[in-house]
Amino acid sequence: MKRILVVENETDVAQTLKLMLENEGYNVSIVLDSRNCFEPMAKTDLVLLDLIMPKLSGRDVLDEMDRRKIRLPVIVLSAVGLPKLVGEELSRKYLGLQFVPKTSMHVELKPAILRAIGPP
Amino acid sequence: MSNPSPEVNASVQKAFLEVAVPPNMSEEERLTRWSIIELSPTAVVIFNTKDQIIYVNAKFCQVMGYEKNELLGRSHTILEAQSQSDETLAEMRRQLSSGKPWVGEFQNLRKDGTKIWIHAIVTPFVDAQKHPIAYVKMCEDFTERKRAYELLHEEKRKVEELSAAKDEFLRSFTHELNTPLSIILTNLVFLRGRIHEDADALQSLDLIERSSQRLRTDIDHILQLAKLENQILDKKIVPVAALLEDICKEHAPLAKAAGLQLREDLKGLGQASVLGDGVLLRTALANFVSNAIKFTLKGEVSVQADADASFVRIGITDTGIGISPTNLSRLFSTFPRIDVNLPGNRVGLILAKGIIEKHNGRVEVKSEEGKGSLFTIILPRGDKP
Repeated sequence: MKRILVVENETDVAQTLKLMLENEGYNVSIVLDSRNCFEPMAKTDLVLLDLIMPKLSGRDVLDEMDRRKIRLPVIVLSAVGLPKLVGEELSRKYLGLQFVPKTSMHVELKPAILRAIGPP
Repeated sequence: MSNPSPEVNASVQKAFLEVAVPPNMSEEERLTRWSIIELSPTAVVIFNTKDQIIYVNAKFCQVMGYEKNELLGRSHTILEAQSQSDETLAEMRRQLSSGKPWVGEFQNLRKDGTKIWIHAIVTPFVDAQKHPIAYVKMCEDFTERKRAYELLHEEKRKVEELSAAKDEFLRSFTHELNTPLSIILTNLVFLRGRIHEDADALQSLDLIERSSQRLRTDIDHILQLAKLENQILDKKIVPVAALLEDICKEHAPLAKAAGLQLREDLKGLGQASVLGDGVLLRTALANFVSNAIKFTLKGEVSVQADADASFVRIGITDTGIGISPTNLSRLFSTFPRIDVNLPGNRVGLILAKGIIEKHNGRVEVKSEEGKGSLFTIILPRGDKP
């Protein structure tokens, strides 16, 4: 069973994702405090990453993954107002990064996951 | 302040006559010229190269609050406010000593100690060798005007600050609304997967989903509206016929579900295009079309467009409920005092109009209650026909 790590500080968003993706057949773990996300990545096939988080932002997480040479597919859950330039800059820096606006999770997330790691 | 001595008076008079009266001028001419200056509504002061005041007219005395004999013979610098910037004075002296007039604004000190703003023209009198021998300063007290201007400037700054704060508030507020909304929508998908047979429950889910989607669209529109004013457009050539065809295709199911005909007549457009942000223009035009569909109960919505050498004209006509003249005049106002039953997705319409105007276009509306509306969008053509 493929494992997905949800790095998201908002409990309700994280639990919704867990409910939805476990229903699809994936194995889902949640990390609410982004500082603790790196260890579980050893047993993960895909990371769902929030960008705006209080202690360590999504960008910081990406930087740290890069520094630790953790190579995993990442889907960034972006807010609606994510400036185009930020998205472009991140895409250039981290190849294969996908963006799913939070408001379109219900439509766009499943196809993005299938593209990244395939079915459960 | 004590009056100047008779010696000073005599020397001032002599200096003044040297400056002001050419040798060949008759006494009569001299009197005529100087009575005009004396009675002039403009404040006039003349001082020599040693800054000594050798003439003041009545208006100057009134503006500065002095008697004439309190000023004659005194140094002109007693009128300078200490807050006066040294740079302004130095600049004025440099200009005058080279024989050129100086125009500017500075602060002066009245006898009672109050500071006033003076707008002045200072012109040097020169001798036969073009050397300055005295300076005539014509000035106007514009303290009140300056105060009003500063007040206006301050108010303008406050309004701009408030407007920026409002936009920032809207931005952060809409972000906050978006998160719970995405939770609702995502959980709906989950529930739909679980409820297969209960038709009523599925219908209820449909209703929740439609309302959530509507809320999401409104939030997106508010967010876009808050961004629009300072947004830099990503301008590209946008072929109008293709864009409108796409929008009509996208809205066909919505029109069909409402039992309406959605017609398009784009023959007059040819290859016409506009220069603009394709995503924003799509949002604007789609808003006009979806608004027309939403408020038409029966009949049709038609999208007709043509172009001339300079403009593209898009007409969106419906046979809908129409808009009363009162509401029509307030339709695009951001803060209207409006009837509670005003139809229309106004946020969407306001955003649409904002986008069109940002592209140097305009929107015209004609409407008759009970008969329908015509929204005309006029955009400058971006290509050469």
